[in-house]
Amino acid sequence: MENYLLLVQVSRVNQTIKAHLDGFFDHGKKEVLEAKSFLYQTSLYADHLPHEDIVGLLYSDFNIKVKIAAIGEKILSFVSIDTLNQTLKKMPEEIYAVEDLLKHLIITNPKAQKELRQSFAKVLSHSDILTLNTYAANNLNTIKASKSLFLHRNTLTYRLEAIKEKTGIDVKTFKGILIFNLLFSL
Amino acid sequence: MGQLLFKNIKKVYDGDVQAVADFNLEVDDKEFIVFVGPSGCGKSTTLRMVAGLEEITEGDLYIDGKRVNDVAPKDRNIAMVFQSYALYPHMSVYDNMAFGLKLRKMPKEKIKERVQHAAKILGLEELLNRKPKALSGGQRQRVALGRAIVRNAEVFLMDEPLSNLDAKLRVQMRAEIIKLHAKIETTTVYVTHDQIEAMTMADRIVIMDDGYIMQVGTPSEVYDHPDNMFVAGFIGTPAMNFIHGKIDGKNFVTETMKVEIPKAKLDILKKQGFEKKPLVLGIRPEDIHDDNAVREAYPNAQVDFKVDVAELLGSETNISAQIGKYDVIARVDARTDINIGDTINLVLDMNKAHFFDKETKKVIRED
Ligand SMILES: Nc1ncnc2c1ncn2[C@@H]1O[C@H](COP(=O)(O)OP(=O)(O)OP(=O)(O)O)[C@@H](O)[C@H]1O
Ligand SMILES: [Mg+2]
Repeated sequence: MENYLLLVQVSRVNQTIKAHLDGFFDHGKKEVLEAKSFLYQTSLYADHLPHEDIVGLLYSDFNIKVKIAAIGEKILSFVSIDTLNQTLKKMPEEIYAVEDLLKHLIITNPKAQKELRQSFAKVLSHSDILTLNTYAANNLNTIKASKSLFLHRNTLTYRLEAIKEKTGIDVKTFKGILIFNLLFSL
Repeated sequence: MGQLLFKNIKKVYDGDVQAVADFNLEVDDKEFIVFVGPSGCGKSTTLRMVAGLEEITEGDLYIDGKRVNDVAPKDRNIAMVFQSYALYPHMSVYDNMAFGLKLRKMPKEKIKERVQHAAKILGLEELLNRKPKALSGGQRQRVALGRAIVRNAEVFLMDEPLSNLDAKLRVQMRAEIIKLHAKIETTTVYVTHDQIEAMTMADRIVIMDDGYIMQVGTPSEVYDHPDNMFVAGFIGTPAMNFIHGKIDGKNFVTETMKVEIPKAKLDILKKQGFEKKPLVLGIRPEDIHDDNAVREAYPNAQVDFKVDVAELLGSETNISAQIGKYDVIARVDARTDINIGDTINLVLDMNKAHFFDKETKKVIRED
Protein backbone atom coordinates (compact mmCIF):
# COMPACT_ATOMS: atom_id res chain seq x y z
CA MET A 1 0.00 0.00 0.00
CA GLU A 2 1.41 3.36 -1.04
CA ASN A 3 2.03 5.83 1.75
CA TYR A 4 -0.35 8.72 1.76
CA LEU A 5 0.47 12.25 2.73
CA LEU A 6 -2.13 14.63 3.94
CA LEU A 7 -1.68 18.26 3.12
CA VAL A 8 -3.63 20.19 5.74
CA GLN A 9 -4.25 23.93 5.73
CA VAL A 10 -6.04 25.91 8.40
CA SER A 11 -7.48 29.40 8.35
CA ARG A 12 -6.19 30.17 11.84
CA VAL A 13 -3.69 28.50 14.11
CA ASN A 14 -2.70 28.32 17.75
CA GLN A 15 -1.28 25.69 20.10
CA THR A 16 -4.67 24.11 20.80
CA ILE A 17 -5.61 23.81 17.17
CA LYS A 18 -2.20 22.33 16.37
CA ALA A 19 -2.66 19.79 19.13
CA HIS A 20 -6.02 18.72 17.72
CA LEU A 21 -4.73 18.45 14.17
CA ASP A 22 -1.87 16.30 15.46
CA GLY A 23 -4.39 14.22 17.38
CA PHE A 24 -6.26 13.43 14.20
CA PHE A 25 -3.50 13.16 11.67
CA ASP A 26 -0.11 12.65 13.26
CA HIS A 27 0.90 9.02 13.08
CA GLY A 28 4.60 9.58 13.46
CA LYS A 29 5.69 11.99 10.81
CA LYS A 30 4.79 15.60 10.30
CA GLU A 31 6.32 18.50 8.46
CA VAL A 32 5.47 22.16 8.94
CA LEU A 33 5.39 23.72 5.47
CA GLU A 34 4.21 27.13 6.52
CA ALA A 35 2.60 28.54 9.64
CA LYS A 36 -0.81 27.33 8.52
CA SER A 37 0.15 24.40 6.26
CA PHE A 38 1.15 20.98 7.49
CA LEU A 39 2.11 17.75 5.84
CA TYR A 40 1.23 14.55 7.68
CA GLN A 41 2.18 11.04 6.76
CA THR A 42 -0.45 8.37 7.13
CA SER A 43 -0.41 4.73 6.25
CA LEU A 44 -4.16 4.46 5.98
CA TYR A 45 -5.84 4.73 2.67
CA ALA A 46 -6.77 8.37 2.61
CA ASP A 47 -10.34 7.56 1.65
CA HIS A 48 -10.95 5.71 4.86
CA LEU A 49 -10.37 8.69 7.08
CA PRO A 50 -13.52 10.65 7.86
CA HIS A 51 -12.06 13.91 6.59
CA GLU A 52 -15.34 15.59 5.95
CA ASP A 53 -16.49 14.98 9.50
CA ILE A 54 -13.19 16.17 10.94
CA VAL A 55 -13.43 19.37 8.93
CA GLY A 56 -17.02 19.83 10.12
CA LEU A 57 -16.12 19.15 13.73
CA LEU A 58 -13.23 21.63 13.80
CA TYR A 59 -15.38 24.25 12.12
CA SER A 60 -18.24 23.77 14.59
CA ASP A 61 -15.96 23.70 17.64
CA PHE A 62 -13.34 26.32 16.72
CA ASN A 63 -14.74 28.24 13.81
CA ILE A 64 -11.67 27.41 11.75
CA LYS A 65 -11.78 26.35 8.13
CA VAL A 66 -9.65 23.32 7.36
CA LYS A 67 -8.67 22.10 3.92
CA ILE A 68 -7.28 18.64 3.30
CA ALA A 69 -5.69 17.13 0.23
CA ALA A 70 -4.68 13.49 0.09
CA ILE A 71 -1.47 12.98 -1.82
CA GLY A 72 0.31 9.76 -2.77
CA GLU A 73 4.07 9.93 -2.22
CA LYS A 74 4.89 8.94 -5.76
CA ILE A 75 3.41 12.06 -7.32
CA LEU A 76 6.01 14.19 -5.56
CA SER A 77 8.61 13.06 -8.11
CA PHE A 78 6.66 15.12 -10.65
CA VAL A 79 5.45 18.14 -8.75
CA SER A 80 6.79 19.81 -5.62
CA ILE A 81 4.86 19.86 -2.39
CA ASP A 82 5.22 23.64 -2.34
CA THR A 83 3.43 23.93 -5.66
CA LEU A 84 0.63 21.71 -4.36
CA ASN A 85 0.45 23.74 -1.18
CA GLN A 86 0.11 27.00 -3.10
CA THR A 87 -2.49 25.41 -5.40
CA LEU A 88 -4.64 24.17 -2.52
CA LYS A 89 -4.73 27.71 -1.10
CA LYS A 90 -6.52 28.91 -4.21
CA MET A 91 -9.18 26.23 -4.24
CA PRO A 92 -12.67 26.82 -2.86
CA GLU A 93 -13.66 23.48 -1.34
CA GLU A 94 -12.38 21.67 1.71
CA ILE A 95 -11.40 18.20 0.63
CA TYR A 96 -9.46 17.21 -2.42
CA ALA A 97 -7.55 14.39 -4.02
CA VAL A 98 -4.21 15.20 -5.61
CA GLU A 99 -5.77 14.88 -9.06
CA ASP A 100 -8.03 17.85 -8.24
CA LEU A 101 -4.99 19.95 -7.41
CA LEU A 102 -3.19 18.89 -10.57
CA LYS A 103 -6.20 19.69 -12.71
CA HIS A 104 -6.47 23.15 -11.19
CA LEU A 105 -2.76 23.70 -11.71
CA ILE A 106 -2.86 22.59 -15.34
CA ILE A 107 -5.83 24.77 -16.18
CA THR A 108 -4.69 27.92 -14.42
CA ASN A 109 -0.92 27.93 -14.78
CA PRO A 110 0.61 27.43 -18.26
CA LYS A 111 4.14 27.32 -16.92
CA ALA A 112 3.34 24.64 -14.37
CA GLN A 113 1.45 22.77 -17.04
CA LYS A 114 4.52 22.67 -19.25
CA GLU A 115 6.75 21.53 -16.41
CA LEU A 116 4.34 18.82 -15.45
CA ARG A 117 4.11 17.61 -19.05
CA GLN A 118 7.90 17.45 -19.27
CA SER A 119 8.36 15.58 -16.04
CA PHE A 120 5.66 12.99 -16.85
CA ALA A 121 7.07 12.64 -20.38
CA LYS A 122 10.34 11.41 -18.86
CA VAL A 123 8.69 8.28 -17.49
CA LEU A 124 5.93 7.71 -20.05
CA SER A 125 6.79 6.08 -23.38
CA HIS A 126 5.04 6.95 -26.65
CA SER A 127 3.05 3.78 -26.41
CA ASP A 128 2.00 4.69 -22.85
CA ILE A 129 0.64 7.99 -24.12
CA LEU A 130 -1.11 6.32 -27.04
CA THR A 131 -2.61 3.83 -24.60
CA LEU A 132 -3.88 6.62 -22.35
CA ASN A 133 -5.35 8.64 -25.20
CA THR A 134 -7.11 5.64 -26.67
CA TYR A 135 -8.41 4.59 -23.25
CA ALA A 136 -9.79 8.08 -22.69
CA ALA A 137 -11.27 8.27 -26.19
CA ASN A 138 -13.13 5.05 -25.45
CA ASN A 139 -14.64 6.40 -22.22
CA LEU A 140 -12.49 4.18 -20.00
CA ASN A 141 -14.01 1.10 -21.59
CA THR A 142 -11.22 -1.51 -21.49
CA ILE A 143 -12.88 -3.79 -24.01
CA LYS A 144 -13.31 -1.13 -26.66
CA ALA A 145 -9.92 0.45 -25.98
CA SER A 146 -8.09 -2.88 -26.21
CA LYS A 147 -9.77 -3.68 -29.53
CA SER A 148 -8.83 -0.35 -30.94
CA LEU A 149 -5.21 -0.85 -29.79
CA PHE A 150 -5.14 -4.47 -31.05
CA LEU A 151 -4.19 -5.61 -27.57
CA HIS A 152 -5.52 -8.32 -25.34
CA ARG A 153 -7.68 -6.85 -22.61
CA ASN A 154 -5.36 -8.15 -19.90
CA THR A 155 -2.39 -6.52 -21.61
CA LEU A 156 -4.16 -3.19 -21.55
CA THR A 157 -5.10 -3.59 -17.89
CA TYR A 158 -1.52 -4.49 -17.13
CA ARG A 159 -0.24 -1.39 -18.95
CA LEU A 160 -2.64 0.87 -17.11
CA GLU A 161 -1.49 -0.62 -13.81
CA ALA A 162 2.13 -0.03 -14.81
CA ILE A 163 1.37 3.61 -15.59
CA LYS A 164 -0.25 3.96 -12.18
CA GLU A 165 2.88 2.49 -10.58
CA LYS A 166 5.14 4.89 -12.47
CA THR A 167 3.14 8.07 -11.96
CA GLY A 168 1.12 7.55 -8.81
CA ILE A 169 -2.06 8.48 -10.69
CA ASP A 170 -4.87 5.99 -11.00
CA VAL A 171 -5.67 6.30 -14.67
CA LYS A 172 -8.62 3.94 -14.39
CA THR A 173 -10.60 6.74 -12.78
CA PHE A 174 -12.05 9.73 -14.63
CA LYS A 175 -10.18 12.13 -12.37
CA GLY A 176 -6.90 10.34 -13.08
CA ILE A 177 -7.18 9.96 -16.84
CA LEU A 178 -8.28 13.58 -17.13
CA ILE A 179 -4.85 14.76 -16.00
CA PHE A 180 -3.09 12.98 -18.85
CA ASN A 181 -5.84 13.90 -21.25
CA LEU A 182 -5.29 17.57 -20.44
CA LEU A 183 -1.51 17.26 -20.67
CA PHE A 184 -1.03 15.09 -23.71
CA SER A 185 -3.95 15.51 -26.07
CA LEU A 186 -4.24 19.29 -26.21
CA MET B 1 -37.47 25.30 22.35
CA GLY B 2 -36.22 23.80 19.15
CA GLN B 3 -38.23 24.92 16.17
CA LEU B 4 -36.86 24.94 12.67
CA LEU B 5 -38.26 26.78 9.71
CA PHE B 6 -36.96 26.30 6.19
CA LYS B 7 -38.21 28.95 3.77
CA ASN B 8 -37.48 28.45 0.09
CA ILE B 9 -34.04 27.05 0.89
CA LYS B 10 -31.85 26.36 -2.09
CA LYS B 11 -28.31 25.10 -2.47
CA VAL B 12 -26.25 25.36 -5.61
CA TYR B 13 -22.68 24.11 -5.36
CA ASP B 14 -19.76 25.49 -7.29
CA GLY B 15 -20.03 24.32 -10.82
CA ASP B 16 -23.81 24.72 -10.89
CA VAL B 17 -24.77 21.49 -9.16
CA GLN B 18 -28.22 22.15 -7.73
CA ALA B 19 -28.29 19.97 -4.64
CA VAL B 20 -31.41 21.34 -2.96
CA ALA B 21 -34.28 23.11 -4.71
CA ASP B 22 -36.88 25.23 -2.92
CA PHE B 23 -37.01 23.37 0.38
CA ASN B 24 -39.90 24.40 2.64
CA LEU B 25 -40.52 22.78 5.99
CA GLU B 26 -41.55 23.54 9.54
CA VAL B 27 -40.14 21.29 12.24
CA ASP B 28 -41.91 21.48 15.58
CA ASP B 29 -40.27 21.57 18.97
CA LYS B 30 -39.49 18.03 20.24
CA GLU B 31 -40.18 16.49 16.88
CA PHE B 32 -38.06 13.63 15.54
CA ILE B 33 -37.91 14.26 11.83
CA VAL B 34 -36.18 11.99 9.34
CA PHE B 35 -34.87 12.96 5.90
CA VAL B 36 -34.83 9.95 3.63
CA GLY B 37 -34.15 9.44 -0.06
CA PRO B 38 -31.74 7.87 -2.52
CA SER B 39 -28.05 8.72 -2.65
CA GLY B 40 -27.40 12.25 -3.88
CA CYS B 41 -30.92 13.57 -3.25
CA GLY B 42 -29.66 16.37 -0.99
CA LYS B 43 -30.24 15.04 2.54
CA SER B 44 -26.77 15.77 3.90
CA THR B 45 -26.60 19.11 2.15
CA THR B 46 -29.83 20.21 3.81
CA LEU B 47 -28.67 19.01 7.22
CA ARG B 48 -25.28 20.68 6.80
CA MET B 49 -26.98 23.96 5.99
CA VAL B 50 -28.78 23.73 9.33
CA ALA B 51 -25.48 22.97 11.06
CA GLY B 52 -23.91 25.97 9.33
CA LEU B 53 -21.28 23.81 7.66
CA GLU B 54 -22.61 24.66 4.21
CA GLU B 55 -23.64 28.08 3.03
CA ILE B 56 -27.27 28.64 2.06
CA THR B 57 -27.46 29.80 -1.55
CA GLU B 58 -30.97 31.21 -1.34
CA GLY B 59 -33.84 31.31 1.14
CA ASP B 60 -34.08 31.73 4.90
CA LEU B 61 -33.45 29.38 7.75
CA TYR B 62 -34.86 30.10 11.18
CA ILE B 63 -34.05 28.41 14.47
CA ASP B 64 -36.58 29.37 17.13
CA GLY B 65 -37.74 32.30 15.07
CA LYS B 66 -34.25 33.70 14.59
CA ARG B 67 -32.79 33.87 11.10
CA VAL B 68 -29.47 32.02 11.23
CA ASN B 69 -28.21 32.13 7.64
CA ASP B 70 -25.23 34.20 8.72
CA VAL B 71 -24.67 32.76 12.20
CA ALA B 72 -21.46 30.71 12.67
CA PRO B 73 -21.97 27.01 13.52
CA LYS B 74 -20.60 27.39 17.03
CA ASP B 75 -23.13 30.12 17.74
CA ARG B 76 -26.16 28.17 16.55
CA ASN B 77 -27.72 26.23 19.36
CA ILE B 78 -27.41 22.91 17.58
CA ALA B 79 -25.33 19.76 18.08
CA MET B 80 -24.28 17.63 15.16
CA VAL B 81 -23.58 13.91 15.38
CA PHE B 82 -21.33 12.88 12.51
CA GLN B 83 -21.47 9.60 10.64
CA SER B 84 -17.92 8.66 11.58
CA TYR B 85 -18.48 9.85 15.17
CA ALA B 86 -15.61 12.34 14.75
CA LEU B 87 -14.25 12.04 18.27
CA TYR B 88 -10.96 13.62 19.19
CA PRO B 89 -8.69 10.58 19.18
CA HIS B 90 -6.17 11.95 21.65
CA MET B 91 -8.74 12.80 24.32
CA SER B 92 -10.55 10.56 26.79
CA VAL B 93 -14.26 9.85 26.57
CA TYR B 94 -14.81 12.28 29.43
CA ASP B 95 -12.86 15.03 27.71
CA ASN B 96 -14.56 14.43 24.39
CA MET B 97 -17.91 14.89 26.04
CA ALA B 98 -16.80 17.83 28.18
CA PHE B 99 -15.08 19.55 25.30
CA GLY B 100 -17.92 21.58 23.84
CA LEU B 101 -18.73 22.88 27.31
CA LYS B 102 -15.12 23.84 28.06
CA LEU B 103 -15.06 25.79 24.83
CA ARG B 104 -18.14 27.60 26.07
CA LYS B 105 -16.37 28.37 29.34
CA MET B 106 -18.75 26.49 31.61
CA PRO B 107 -17.54 26.03 35.23
CA LYS B 108 -15.74 22.73 35.89
CA GLU B 109 -18.18 21.43 38.46
CA LYS B 110 -21.13 21.99 36.21
CA ILE B 111 -19.37 20.27 33.31
CA LYS B 112 -18.70 17.26 35.52
CA GLU B 113 -22.33 17.07 36.51
CA ARG B 114 -23.54 17.21 32.92
CA VAL B 115 -21.03 14.66 31.64
CA GLN B 116 -21.86 12.23 34.41
CA HIS B 117 -25.54 12.63 33.82
CA ALA B 118 -25.14 11.95 30.08
CA ALA B 119 -22.76 9.06 30.75
CA LYS B 120 -25.40 7.49 32.95
CA ILE B 121 -28.14 7.83 30.35
CA LEU B 122 -25.85 6.28 27.75
CA GLY B 123 -24.25 3.59 29.89
CA LEU B 124 -20.77 5.06 29.50
CA GLU B 125 -19.93 5.49 33.18
CA GLU B 126 -17.26 2.79 33.19
CA LEU B 127 -15.61 4.05 30.03
CA LEU B 128 -14.99 7.70 30.80
CA ASN B 129 -11.21 7.34 31.02
CA ARG B 130 -10.78 5.42 27.80
CA LYS B 131 -9.61 6.82 24.50
CA PRO B 132 -11.93 6.44 21.48
CA LYS B 133 -9.54 3.92 19.94
CA ALA B 134 -10.29 1.52 22.79
CA LEU B 135 -14.05 1.59 22.20
CA SER B 136 -16.33 -0.45 20.00
CA GLY B 137 -18.27 1.20 17.20
CA GLY B 138 -21.46 1.30 19.23
CA GLN B 139 -19.66 2.80 22.23
CA ARG B 140 -18.07 5.47 20.06
CA GLN B 141 -21.47 6.32 18.69
CA ARG B 142 -22.75 6.70 22.23
CA VAL B 143 -19.93 9.09 23.06
CA ALA B 144 -20.82 11.12 19.98
CA LEU B 145 -24.41 11.25 21.23
CA GLY B 146 -23.08 12.20 24.66
CA ARG B 147 -21.23 15.16 23.19
CA ALA B 148 -24.55 16.36 21.84
CA ILE B 149 -26.55 15.66 24.99
CA VAL B 150 -24.28 17.56 27.41
CA ARG B 151 -24.59 20.66 25.29
CA ASN B 152 -28.34 20.93 26.00
CA ALA B 153 -28.65 22.08 22.41
CA GLU B 154 -32.06 22.98 21.01
CA VAL B 155 -31.65 20.77 17.97
CA PHE B 156 -29.73 17.55 17.31
CA LEU B 157 -28.57 16.88 13.79
CA MET B 158 -27.57 13.34 12.85
CA ASP B 159 -26.25 12.30 9.46
CA GLU B 160 -26.50 8.52 9.00
CA PRO B 161 -25.21 7.99 12.54
CA LEU B 162 -25.64 4.22 12.42
CA SER B 163 -24.30 3.42 8.99
CA ASN B 164 -20.87 2.40 10.27
CA LEU B 165 -22.33 -0.23 12.60
CA ASP B 166 -23.12 -3.85 11.78
CA ALA B 167 -26.74 -4.81 11.23
CA LYS B 168 -27.41 -6.14 14.71
CA LEU B 169 -25.89 -3.20 16.51
CA ARG B 170 -27.71 -0.84 14.18
CA VAL B 171 -31.07 -2.21 15.27
CA GLN B 172 -30.06 -1.92 18.91
CA MET B 173 -28.75 1.66 18.58
CA ARG B 174 -31.86 2.61 16.65
CA ALA B 175 -33.94 1.62 19.66
CA GLU B 176 -31.56 3.43 22.00
CA ILE B 177 -31.81 6.66 20.04
CA ILE B 178 -35.61 6.46 20.09
CA LYS B 179 -35.56 5.90 23.85
CA LEU B 180 -33.11 8.73 24.30
CA HIS B 181 -35.36 11.05 22.35
CA ALA B 182 -38.36 10.04 24.42
CA LYS B 183 -36.37 10.91 27.52
CA ILE B 184 -34.75 14.21 26.60
CA GLU B 185 -37.19 15.34 23.90
CA THR B 186 -34.69 17.40 21.94
CA THR B 187 -35.83 18.26 18.44
CA THR B 188 -33.91 15.95 16.13
CA VAL B 189 -33.27 15.95 12.42
CA TYR B 190 -32.01 12.54 11.36
CA VAL B 191 -30.70 11.66 7.92
CA THR B 192 -30.75 8.15 6.51
CA HIS B 193 -31.16 6.41 3.20
CA ASP B 194 -32.62 3.40 4.98
CA GLN B 195 -36.41 3.53 4.77
CA ILE B 196 -36.86 1.03 7.58
CA GLU B 197 -34.86 3.30 9.87
CA ALA B 198 -37.00 6.21 8.71
CA MET B 199 -40.29 4.36 9.23
CA THR B 200 -39.40 3.06 12.68
CA MET B 201 -37.85 6.22 14.13
CA ALA B 202 -39.65 9.21 12.68
CA ASP B 203 -42.51 11.32 13.97
CA ARG B 204 -42.57 12.67 10.44
CA ILE B 205 -40.62 11.68 7.36
CA VAL B 206 -39.38 13.99 4.65
CA ILE B 207 -38.87 12.01 1.45
CA MET B 208 -36.52 13.66 -1.00
CA ASP B 209 -35.53 13.02 -4.59
CA ASP B 210 -33.08 14.96 -6.70
CA GLY B 211 -33.12 18.03 -4.45
CA TYR B 212 -36.91 18.18 -4.12
CA ILE B 213 -39.21 17.23 -1.26
CA MET B 214 -41.54 14.55 -2.60
CA GLN B 215 -43.71 14.27 0.50
CA VAL B 216 -43.76 15.11 4.20
CA GLY B 217 -45.87 13.03 6.54
CA THR B 218 -46.05 10.55 9.37
CA PRO B 219 -44.83 7.03 8.58
CA SER B 220 -48.37 5.78 8.14
CA GLU B 221 -49.37 8.75 5.97
CA VAL B 222 -46.55 8.24 3.52
CA TYR B 223 -47.11 4.49 3.52
CA ASP B 224 -50.88 4.46 3.18
CA HIS B 225 -51.35 7.66 1.22
CA PRO B 226 -48.32 8.31 -0.96
CA ASP B 227 -48.60 11.54 -2.94
CA ASN B 228 -46.79 10.24 -5.98
CA MET B 229 -45.21 7.21 -7.60
CA PHE B 230 -41.78 8.08 -6.26
CA VAL B 231 -42.89 7.90 -2.64
CA ALA B 232 -45.11 4.90 -3.36
CA GLY B 233 -42.17 3.01 -4.84
CA PHE B 234 -39.57 4.17 -2.35
CA ILE B 235 -41.37 3.34 0.89
CA GLY B 236 -42.13 -0.34 1.49
CA THR B 237 -40.31 -3.60 0.73
CA PRO B 238 -40.91 -5.34 -1.54
CA ALA B 239 -41.87 -2.17 -3.38
CA MET B 240 -45.39 -1.30 -4.51
CA ASN B 241 -46.33 -2.87 -7.85
CA PHE B 242 -47.19 -0.56 -10.73
CA ILE B 243 -49.41 -1.67 -13.58
CA HIS B 244 -50.13 0.66 -16.50
CA GLY B 245 -53.62 0.71 -18.00
CA LYS B 246 -56.83 2.67 -18.39
CA ILE B 247 -60.50 2.80 -17.43
CA ASP B 248 -63.04 0.78 -19.40
CA GLY B 249 -66.55 1.03 -17.96
CA LYS B 250 -66.29 0.07 -14.30
CA ASN B 251 -62.94 -1.62 -14.76
CA PHE B 252 -59.24 -0.93 -14.84
CA VAL B 253 -57.89 -2.77 -17.85
CA THR B 254 -54.56 -3.67 -19.40
CA GLU B 255 -53.98 -5.94 -22.39
CA THR B 256 -54.15 -8.99 -20.16
CA MET B 257 -55.98 -8.01 -17.02
CA LYS B 258 -59.31 -6.58 -15.96
CA VAL B 259 -60.28 -5.60 -12.40
CA GLU B 260 -63.30 -3.76 -11.11
CA ILE B 261 -62.68 -0.39 -9.46
CA PRO B 262 -64.70 0.25 -6.27
CA LYS B 263 -67.36 2.87 -6.88
CA ALA B 264 -65.94 5.55 -4.59
CA LYS B 265 -62.55 5.37 -6.31
CA LEU B 266 -64.07 5.24 -9.76
CA ASP B 267 -66.10 8.37 -9.07
CA ILE B 268 -62.99 10.28 -8.12
CA LEU B 269 -61.12 9.10 -11.20
CA LYS B 270 -63.98 10.16 -13.43
CA LYS B 271 -64.45 13.46 -11.67
CA GLN B 272 -60.76 14.24 -12.12
CA GLY B 273 -61.06 13.54 -15.83
CA PHE B 274 -59.23 10.22 -16.09
CA GLU B 275 -61.89 8.32 -17.99
CA LYS B 276 -59.81 8.48 -21.15
CA LYS B 277 -56.32 9.20 -19.79
CA PRO B 278 -53.54 6.68 -19.15
CA LEU B 279 -53.40 5.53 -15.53
CA VAL B 280 -51.08 3.58 -13.29
CA LEU B 281 -52.52 1.20 -10.73
CA GLY B 282 -50.37 0.82 -7.63
CA ILE B 283 -50.87 -2.15 -5.34
CA ARG B 284 -48.64 -3.27 -2.50
CA PRO B 285 -47.52 -6.90 -2.40
CA GLU B 286 -49.38 -7.48 0.87
CA ASP B 287 -52.61 -6.19 -0.69
CA ILE B 288 -52.68 -9.08 -3.13
CA HIS B 289 -54.32 -12.10 -1.51
CA ASP B 290 -55.16 -15.71 -2.11
CA ASP B 291 -57.83 -16.23 0.54
CA ASN B 292 -61.48 -16.69 -0.21
CA ALA B 293 -62.79 -13.98 2.07
CA VAL B 294 -61.08 -11.35 -0.07
CA ARG B 295 -62.15 -13.17 -3.22
CA GLU B 296 -65.76 -12.90 -2.11
CA ALA B 297 -65.37 -9.20 -1.31
CA TYR B 298 -63.85 -8.43 -4.70
CA PRO B 299 -65.09 -11.15 -7.04
CA ASN B 300 -64.21 -9.00 -10.03
CA ALA B 301 -60.64 -8.24 -8.97
CA GLN B 302 -59.22 -11.71 -9.54
CA VAL B 303 -56.11 -12.02 -11.64
CA ASP B 304 -54.17 -15.00 -12.98
CA PHE B 305 -50.49 -14.85 -12.12
CA LYS B 306 -47.84 -16.85 -13.95
CA VAL B 307 -45.28 -17.65 -11.24
CA ASP B 308 -41.61 -16.82 -11.90
CA VAL B 309 -40.28 -17.27 -8.38
CA ALA B 310 -41.88 -18.33 -5.13
CA GLU B 311 -39.88 -17.52 -2.02
CA LEU B 312 -40.99 -18.97 1.29
CA LEU B 313 -40.10 -16.51 4.07
CA GLY B 314 -41.28 -17.79 7.43
CA SER B 315 -44.99 -17.19 7.65
CA GLU B 316 -45.23 -15.65 4.21
CA THR B 317 -44.51 -16.49 0.61
CA ASN B 318 -43.32 -13.85 -1.85
CA ILE B 319 -44.51 -14.68 -5.33
CA SER B 320 -42.90 -12.96 -8.29
CA ALA B 321 -45.09 -13.19 -11.31
CA GLN B 322 -45.91 -11.63 -14.62
CA ILE B 323 -49.11 -9.89 -15.52
CA GLY B 324 -48.74 -9.18 -19.20
CA LYS B 325 -45.49 -7.26 -19.45
CA TYR B 326 -45.45 -6.16 -15.80
CA ASP B 327 -43.44 -7.84 -13.06
CA VAL B 328 -45.54 -8.08 -9.95
CA ILE B 329 -44.77 -9.32 -6.46
CA ALA B 330 -47.47 -10.68 -4.18
CA ARG B 331 -46.98 -11.51 -0.52
CA VAL B 332 -49.40 -14.19 0.58
CA ASP B 333 -49.66 -16.50 3.57
CA ALA B 334 -47.05 -19.23 3.57
CA ARG B 335 -47.64 -21.80 0.85
CA THR B 336 -45.35 -24.59 -0.18
CA ASP B 337 -47.42 -25.86 -3.05
CA ILE B 338 -46.49 -23.19 -5.59
CA ASN B 339 -44.10 -24.11 -8.35
CA ILE B 340 -42.36 -22.02 -10.95
CA GLY B 341 -44.45 -21.89 -14.10
CA ASP B 342 -47.76 -22.45 -12.27
CA THR B 343 -50.62 -20.13 -12.98
CA ILE B 344 -52.39 -19.16 -9.79
CA ASN B 345 -55.43 -17.06 -9.16
CA LEU B 346 -55.02 -14.17 -6.73
CA VAL B 347 -57.21 -11.24 -5.81
CA LEU B 348 -56.38 -7.57 -5.43
CA ASP B 349 -57.71 -5.73 -2.38
CA MET B 350 -59.06 -2.92 -4.52
CA ASN B 351 -59.81 -0.64 -1.60
CA LYS B 352 -56.04 -0.53 -1.03
CA ALA B 353 -55.31 0.21 -4.67
CA HIS B 354 -53.72 3.56 -5.57
CA PHE B 355 -54.22 5.30 -8.90
CA PHE B 356 -51.61 7.61 -10.39
CA ASP B 357 -51.63 9.97 -13.33
CA LYS B 358 -49.20 8.34 -15.74
CA GLU B 359 -48.03 11.71 -16.99
CA THR B 360 -47.42 13.63 -13.76
CA LYS B 361 -46.82 10.54 -11.62
CA LYS B 362 -49.03 12.12 -8.96
CA VAL B 363 -51.70 10.22 -7.08
CA ILE B 364 -55.25 10.96 -8.16
CA ARG B 365 -57.39 12.00 -5.24
CA GLU B 366 -60.26 14.26 -4.41
CA ASP B 367 -59.36 17.96 -4.45
N1 LIG C 1 -19.05 19.93 -2.22
C1 LIG C 1 -19.83 19.64 -3.26
N2 LIG C 1 -19.60 20.17 -4.49
C2 LIG C 1 -20.41 19.90 -5.54
N3 LIG C 1 -21.47 19.07 -5.48
C3 LIG C 1 -21.75 18.50 -4.29
C4 LIG C 1 -20.95 18.74 -3.12
N4 LIG C 1 -21.47 18.01 -2.10
C5 LIG C 1 -22.54 17.37 -2.60
N5 LIG C 1 -22.71 17.65 -3.91
C6 LIG C 1 -23.78 17.16 -4.79
O1 LIG C 1 -25.02 17.58 -4.28
C7 LIG C 1 -26.00 16.56 -4.40
C8 LIG C 1 -26.58 16.21 -3.05
O2 LIG C 1 -25.57 15.63 -2.24
P1 LIG C 1 -25.81 15.16 -0.74
O3 LIG C 1 -24.49 14.78 -0.17
O4 LIG C 1 -26.59 16.17 -0.01
O5 LIG C 1 -26.70 13.86 -0.97
P2 LIG C 1 -27.24 12.78 0.10
O6 LIG C 1 -28.71 12.76 -0.08
O7 LIG C 1 -26.72 13.07 1.45
O8 LIG C 1 -26.66 11.42 -0.47
P3 LIG C 1 -26.01 10.13 0.29
O9 LIG C 1 -27.17 9.25 0.68
O10 LIG C 1 -25.19 9.50 -0.76
O11 LIG C 1 -25.22 10.62 1.47
C9 LIG C 1 -25.30 15.40 -5.09
O12 LIG C 1 -25.57 15.49 -6.46
C10 LIG C 1 -23.85 15.65 -4.80
O13 LIG C 1 -23.04 15.11 -5.82
MG1 LIG D 1 -25.37 12.08 2.76
